Amino acid sequence: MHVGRPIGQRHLARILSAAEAGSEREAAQKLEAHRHAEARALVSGVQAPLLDEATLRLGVTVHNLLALGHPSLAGKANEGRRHRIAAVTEGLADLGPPRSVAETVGRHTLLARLPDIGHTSHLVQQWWGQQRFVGRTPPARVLALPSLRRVKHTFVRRGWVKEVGVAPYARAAWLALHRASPLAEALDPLRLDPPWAWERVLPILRFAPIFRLVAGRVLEIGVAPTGGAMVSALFRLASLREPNTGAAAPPGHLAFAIGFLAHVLWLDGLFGRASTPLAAPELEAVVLAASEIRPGLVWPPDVDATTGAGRFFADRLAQMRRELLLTAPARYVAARALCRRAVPDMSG
Amino acid sequence: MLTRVASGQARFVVPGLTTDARGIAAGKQLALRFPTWDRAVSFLRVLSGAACPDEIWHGLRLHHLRPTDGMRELLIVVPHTSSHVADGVARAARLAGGACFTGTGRHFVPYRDKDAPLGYDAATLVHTGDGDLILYTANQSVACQLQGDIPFDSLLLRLDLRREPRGAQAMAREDEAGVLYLSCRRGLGPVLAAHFYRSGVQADTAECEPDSASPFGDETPFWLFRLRHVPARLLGLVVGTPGLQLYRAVLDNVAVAVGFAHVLHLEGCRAAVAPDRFLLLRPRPGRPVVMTSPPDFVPLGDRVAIPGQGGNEIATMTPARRSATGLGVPLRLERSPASRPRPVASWIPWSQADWLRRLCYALPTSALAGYRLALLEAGILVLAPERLEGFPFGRPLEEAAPGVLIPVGTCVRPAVSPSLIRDSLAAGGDGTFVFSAADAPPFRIADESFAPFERRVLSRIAVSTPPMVGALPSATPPPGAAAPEVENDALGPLPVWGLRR
Repeated sequence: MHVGRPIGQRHLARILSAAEAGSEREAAQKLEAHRHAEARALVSGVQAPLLDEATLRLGVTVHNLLALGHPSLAGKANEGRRHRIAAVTEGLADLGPPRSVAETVGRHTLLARLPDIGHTSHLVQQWWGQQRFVGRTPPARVLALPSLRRVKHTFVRRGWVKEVGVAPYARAAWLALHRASPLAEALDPLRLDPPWAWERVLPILRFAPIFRLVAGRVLEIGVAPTGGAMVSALFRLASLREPNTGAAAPPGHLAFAIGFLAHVLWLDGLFGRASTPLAAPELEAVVLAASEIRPGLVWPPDVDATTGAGRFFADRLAQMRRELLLTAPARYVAARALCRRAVPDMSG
Repeated sequence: MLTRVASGQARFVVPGLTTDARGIAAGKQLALRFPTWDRAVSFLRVLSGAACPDEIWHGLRLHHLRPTDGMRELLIVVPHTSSHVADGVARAARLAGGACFTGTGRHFVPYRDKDAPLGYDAATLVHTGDGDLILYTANQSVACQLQGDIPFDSLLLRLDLRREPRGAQAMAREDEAGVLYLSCRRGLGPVLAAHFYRSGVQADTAECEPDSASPFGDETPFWLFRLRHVPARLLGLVVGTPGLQLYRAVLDNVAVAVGFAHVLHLEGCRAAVAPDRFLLLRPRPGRPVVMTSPPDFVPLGDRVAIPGQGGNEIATMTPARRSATGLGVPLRLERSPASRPRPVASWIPWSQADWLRRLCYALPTSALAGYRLALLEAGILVLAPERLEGFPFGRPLEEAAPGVLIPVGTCVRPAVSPSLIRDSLAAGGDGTFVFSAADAPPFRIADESFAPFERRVLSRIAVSTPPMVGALPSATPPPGAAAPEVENDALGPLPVWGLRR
């Protein structure tokens, strides 16, 4: 990945018109084929994603965020430039949440390998001092005559997302990028930054194929490790403590999120590894509290408590209740308060 | 002295460090180090205002800390439950000017920050007999002695209250709906109780005796009133009279003087406050009142001497022998132009069914999913869960009682209570009762006759089966494919020239 001069609106318009005119057709076709394969692996029957303006804006956003770590823009003297790049990038990334399954998957195919991006930092030590080359191979002249000049060359590769991160002044652009393409976040509940946020994930969970995809991924990772992260995010959503949240989370959003958690627990019980009770106490406390406050939040309308599946789940709820009240009553009380906010006539 | 934890690292130099599901290295405890009291209090204030789980407050311990060759400092130790919670605790500690460490038992390394997103480990382990714990920092490792515990309750009582700028009377007026406590000297109690009783104030009262640390203490017994609703006209009396002190209930067992607030958000650190004591916190020069058990409140009326309690003679009437059913009248609908229309259903004759079919294309998803439909021989009833909108035809019906529908613009006479209307109609069985017109008799629709609108509107759809492909193409990168590597090209002069928002 080559990172060069930051790209703004005018440059983007030139790239877009060139793409529409058919320049670099072979590269565009190759990209389309790769993205189509990635998309079909996620959702069957989806069409090939287009190289449209939204795609280019997301690509430019990633490029500009990477450019913020360019050694030529480092230092106090370039602080103003970095702030300017971050402001321009935020405007480019602000696409809003995707409006369809195809758009969700299409945007994700461009950013799916974001966590794999990294750069190599080379440190060259010589008799007179040391030089660091970030994302660049040291020139041959620096490494020449190694024994005579006592050259010692060490290098370390650091992941961009996990180990380097994005600077605080570019945080708005980073969040806008995840708001525009939240599928990567939804498929990785244990991510470090930004942590899972329901306000970004909920708009795409409303699409049934994405809902199934994310639930499957959560089961694959395991309900025990992911439950805590998702419930922590749910408390943040309900308590208005997430930055950039202007209004209270409507009860409908909370109810939908609780429904998703219950769906995951149902799947875990019926088809998954059936974690032992209290393997994910945060998640189980929320589902149990929801089942007591409004059973409709947890019980699917077409499942009767007298059927085999219904009896199984009811038994599990009873077992969870016994364990929770013994070991973590405070958590259960907090979960009840949360679930009351998800019911319109009790949220006031 | 420190090394950054790498992604996927599983072995550590510091004993007790483990990684969680996110790969963050941490021990079982968090140790928060503060050089001064005010910073520690500032941290507790921030933490109590944040959404912090009760487990943290249950396990919170305060210690005096003396580093080798250093000044005395403060150490707050809390359990490490999850990295999500620990992030918030560390943020609060750093905001208050402290440092956050993590570890288990004796060795503590700094908790993760932006320079080391996965945490720190020590380069070498320090083995020294001095000190109860060892804190590793970037430059050195410090052995520290723990010098005594500080109970959280005693800290709570030692902190001065803050004066609220709104003033006592305004705060008491705002808390009118909440519970207020009023304390007064024992001699004033009976007079005040009688005054409250005459004024119709809902109150309970108790005689209290605060715990005295010394037999020579100056704590005197007092009366405590629990007031549920104080009329505005009495606020001036209870706030401004010398000898009376009004408190606002913050927790079930903690009340703070009205016009003041505690430095900590007590609602947030409820779990750290001992539940078996009752605290009345008041500003200086007064001292907090601590009671080992909650006061035994009795209703105010039981403590007031009521003069002239003579035996009132109560006349008894014999019931009429004639049965009251002779007065029964049937329900009737009458025009009521003053009523505000709020249709919840529509009665549509079959002649307008074609209009309904065409309207289905214009109705939003919420309407199709929420409305219910009953197809009857006489017509179609469309029922909304709350309010029916978007139906320009049919006869709009509103709810006179739960499950009783009458035409909009009419009302039921005699004007008996809605529950009675429902009970009298439901004598023959449950369901929805409909008065389709002012002069028509009511009829009942069983609950099973209703079906969701969206299930009734769709006709059978012809579906074709497209040809299938053999297998899904794999989107995982092929083996050997290199991870994307950033290569920084030369930016040239003026790299942000022409970059505009």
